[in-house]
Amino acid sequence: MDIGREILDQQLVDRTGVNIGKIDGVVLELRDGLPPRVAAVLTGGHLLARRLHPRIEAWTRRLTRGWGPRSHDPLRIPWSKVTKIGVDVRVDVDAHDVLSWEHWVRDRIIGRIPGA
Amino acid sequence: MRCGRALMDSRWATPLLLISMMLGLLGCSSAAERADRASRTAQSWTATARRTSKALAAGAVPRVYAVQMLEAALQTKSQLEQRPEWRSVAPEIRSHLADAARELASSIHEGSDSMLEP
Amino acid sequence: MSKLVQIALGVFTSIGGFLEVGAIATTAQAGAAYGFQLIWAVLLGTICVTFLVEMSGRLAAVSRHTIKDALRERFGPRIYMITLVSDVIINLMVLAAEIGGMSLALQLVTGISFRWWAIPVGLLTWLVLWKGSFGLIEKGVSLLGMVALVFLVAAFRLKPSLAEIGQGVLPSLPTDRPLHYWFIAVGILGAAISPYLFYFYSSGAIEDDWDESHIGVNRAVAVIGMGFGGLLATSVLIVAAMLFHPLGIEPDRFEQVALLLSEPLGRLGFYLFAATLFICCLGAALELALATSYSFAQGLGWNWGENVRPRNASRFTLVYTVMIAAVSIMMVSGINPLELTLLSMALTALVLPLVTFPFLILMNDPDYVGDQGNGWISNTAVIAISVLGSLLALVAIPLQLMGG
Repeated sequence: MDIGREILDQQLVDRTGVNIGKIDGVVLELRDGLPPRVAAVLTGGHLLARRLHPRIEAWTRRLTRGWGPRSHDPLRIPWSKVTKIGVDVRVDVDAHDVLSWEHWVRDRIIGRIPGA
Repeated sequence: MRCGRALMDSRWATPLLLISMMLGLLGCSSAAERADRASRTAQSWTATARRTSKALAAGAVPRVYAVQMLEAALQTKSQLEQRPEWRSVAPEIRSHLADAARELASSIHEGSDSMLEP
Repeated sequence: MSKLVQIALGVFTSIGGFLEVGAIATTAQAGAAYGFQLIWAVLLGTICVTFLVEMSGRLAAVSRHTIKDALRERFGPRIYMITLVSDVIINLMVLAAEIGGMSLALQLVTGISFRWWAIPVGLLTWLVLWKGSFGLIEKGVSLLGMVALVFLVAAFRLKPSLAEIGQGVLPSLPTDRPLHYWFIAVGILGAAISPYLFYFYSSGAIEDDWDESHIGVNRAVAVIGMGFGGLLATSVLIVAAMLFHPLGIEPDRFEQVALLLSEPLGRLGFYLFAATLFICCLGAALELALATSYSFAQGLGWNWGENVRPRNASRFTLVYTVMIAAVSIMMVSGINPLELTLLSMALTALVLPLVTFPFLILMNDPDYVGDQGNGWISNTAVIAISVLGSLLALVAIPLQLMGG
């Protein structure tokens, strides 16, 4: 499998069709004598910033200090949860359990405006 | 002096030279160009004010628009007068702008006067 | 919905989207300063954007990806980020100009300075996005945008010389103030080839659930819609060429442009100008705000969609909210909307290759477009026009800024 082309930067979608995020990183499991295996995919956190440049990551960390959900770590989804790889990557997860930043923006900002 | 020498020897010498030449050229022609532009702007607004007077008289624009155009024309005129190149602009062009603005002002007031008549 | 109705709706959307503050400002300037001479620029811009719009619809229909989504997947986050940053900067400027245009339309009619209208207008724009659905925006505002046809009527009324128009279709070198000529030409290209237009179009294709069966509809909409839009823009140029050029009026404020319709059409023309300015700028503002939200959401993987309730696409919604708020506040300061428009159009032309080249690579990649890839004509036309626009802008913008 060509990780770069088929997994990285693909859209992660939950079991109901709601977007979770883009796959920003991949966790590889190294095994003796066998080729490495994809153990999990990562999304969010400051992974994207880090991929652009370490200084950009430092900058985004500083900007978001004190804001947002309690944890700024990337979301980790085990490879076993992947159900289908096609136009996007479907996973057997409920988006509403894992969308921390989205829910924070909804609860603190958008949700407070009438008519949301 | 040593910095200057180092600068001229560096790889930035040629681009810097070209840029400063370009800026120099721009600076030289600027004065005549500025007067030309001021003159065009004056003529443009003179014509604008005149057309607005005509349009107001014909009822093609509401009075509220004519007032906006008068304000804009007067603003443009005072901005132009503050520039040094205004003195190099031909006197007829300068006076035409003032005349056109005055005509527009009186058209506006004529209109409002006639509204007061029974 | 029958294919014919779909085509008609798509065409109306395109017309309404084409003629906004940028197109009006640049073509009015062109006609006023150079008569019919710059018609070729409108033609070139229209041809290029027709190709780009058709391509963006085809990409969405076949790959089920929008442009931004595919950009990140295919080229990685760095390229995506570069296009995102340039998008955001230019979209902010153009949105400010559109808000300015709407505010000016209200000033024309009420006499109250446009600076007072900036925030109410921003609020209205935001409300339409907040409460409206994609269908409402696509159909409602765009149908209203048909009021722009008044320029076509005015152009006909003035009976322009077909021979002169024909001459203008061929590119020609300026005999007077060459720098200004190329700056306007570049602005016309930037106004016609607005990236937000085809980003919006590709997102719309996904929102409307297009698939491979829509390729024919897509082609018809792109050609007829953009073609008609280009015709409208040319009408503005013609009217300005016939009314302003002989008088030496070169608009440096939008208020002057109102005279273009009040001359041939009287008081009704005046009000129709204000209506056209307001409605077309509103349409463009909605598209710009949405396009920016799409750009963020589709590259970062957020939930997105105008048909989705705001609370179910909170980050997507936050982007356009912040954008509209920032820009409305900015316009209270009284920046001249006409000058802002001309500059932002020229900047759009400058970054064209950045926008079009990755897009062209996608359109020739079978992984995305299968066997529906680009022919050599579309590739060549888009490359040539983007490079031309960018080179011209590279030269014209700094010199205009320094001289002007």
